[in-house]
Amino acid sequence: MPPASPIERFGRAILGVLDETGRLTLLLLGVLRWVVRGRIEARQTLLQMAHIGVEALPLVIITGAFAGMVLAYQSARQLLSLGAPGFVGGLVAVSLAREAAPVFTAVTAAGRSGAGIAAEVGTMAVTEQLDALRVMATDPVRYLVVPRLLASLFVLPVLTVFANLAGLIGGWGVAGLAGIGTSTYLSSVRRFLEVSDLSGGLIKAALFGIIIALVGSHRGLTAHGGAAGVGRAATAAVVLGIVLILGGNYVLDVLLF
Amino acid sequence: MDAPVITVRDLRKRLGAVDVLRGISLEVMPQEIFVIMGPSGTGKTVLLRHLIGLLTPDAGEIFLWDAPVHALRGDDLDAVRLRIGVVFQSAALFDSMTVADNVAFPLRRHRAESEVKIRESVATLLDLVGLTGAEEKMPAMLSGGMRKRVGIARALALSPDLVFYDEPTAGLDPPAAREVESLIWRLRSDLAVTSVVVTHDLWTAFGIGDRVAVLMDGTLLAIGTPRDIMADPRPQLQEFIHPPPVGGERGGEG
Repeated sequence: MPPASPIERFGRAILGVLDETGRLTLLLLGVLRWVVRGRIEARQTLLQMAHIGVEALPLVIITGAFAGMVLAYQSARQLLSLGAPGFVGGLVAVSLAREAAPVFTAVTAAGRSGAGIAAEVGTMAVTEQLDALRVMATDPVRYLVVPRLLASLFVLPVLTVFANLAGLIGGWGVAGLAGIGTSTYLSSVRRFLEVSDLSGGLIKAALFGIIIALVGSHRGLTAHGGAAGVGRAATAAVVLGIVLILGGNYVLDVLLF
Repeated sequence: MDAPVITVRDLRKRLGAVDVLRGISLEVMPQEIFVIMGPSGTGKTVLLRHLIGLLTPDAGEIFLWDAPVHALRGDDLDAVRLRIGVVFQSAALFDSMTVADNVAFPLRRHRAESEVKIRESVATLLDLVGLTGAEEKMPAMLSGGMRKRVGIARALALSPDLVFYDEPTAGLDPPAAREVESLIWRLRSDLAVTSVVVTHDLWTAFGIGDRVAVLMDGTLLAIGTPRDIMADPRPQLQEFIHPPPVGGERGGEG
């Protein structure tokens, strides 16, 4: 077979993306089918919420704090030279609420929980554990995917709140070092930050949560080829998850703000 | 005569470019130990996966009792699956759960029983497979033979009428393999279950099978008692049963 031409490769890539989107949509419909019928595994969902929340929280706080610090540092440099210290807190808070907190939280969670879901479900796939579930009259989508998706959907906004707080505190610290007092910082936050900034960010986070769990589960369910296959599934879940989060973020920005 | 537990009619399946199953028909009678035997890679596991509804045939019919497994989905298929137990080749224990939780899994999902009652059932099942006291161990701590036996205990949890074993003795040392065989034998006599055993191991097949079906290249070459199969003069069968000695020096069977 001659090597594929660029056009051929481009076509294949497009087909690949469409194929993946279709499969993810089918899985999402499968999840919705169980949710609509009310057949939700409450215990598994709570376990997953604890799992995803606890494992991602330290990283989310650290990334959130650094995001706030960088935003404060850059904005303080610019705004102080313009003689406008009263804008720093607001700029940090709004940037965090709309963009930095949900996106960094989601990327962090994709790296931890998305990979974790793909590896766990993938291991079950390659060791016949999914088949064991099926023959014990237990649908893997219902037992494994629904709880992970619901957990991720609810936990990501909570994590994002923590990222917002950590970022505001980090920004406050850096602003303080730049000579902006606490009261100036806080009144600026209050003046510029709207509820819609926060709620929009949290809606984004919830949708990113769906993406993370859906991509991780899908890669896990379709893993094959032993331990190497599980590794591939985990890597693909992270890469694809992050791409979809960043792409989705743009679309959501246009829609929400 | 009793109605068969399993009826397969002209089952066909193509996977990729390979015709894996090319017209399989068989019947398994109540309380029989029915062995599906054949060299590795001849479609034994594919056949098994059809019988338990994990694969859908391209053509043909599969009935467990009178349920058309080839056509069932969702809750209807699950209703049939509650009457069967499956022991997987790798045992397929849930490695995030203890032995007790593995065995209790089907009970917790499908029986509305108290935790005390479930603990009792788990103890009984573990006793049955000779693993009393292993409740709190994790699957990773167990030997291959022990994992298989936990898998058997889990498969028996809902008191199935029909149990499938995929390569129950593969990867076990001979004493562990004989233990699992005698367990399969004992379960039939004690619990009156029907058993379907998929194996490439002649010793297992002829040792415990009431009837043996020999699967080669996607078709059933022969079905009969171990004695019938051993007496079948066809060269393909004899070559599998008595492979020519390696190097031509040593006698003995493979």
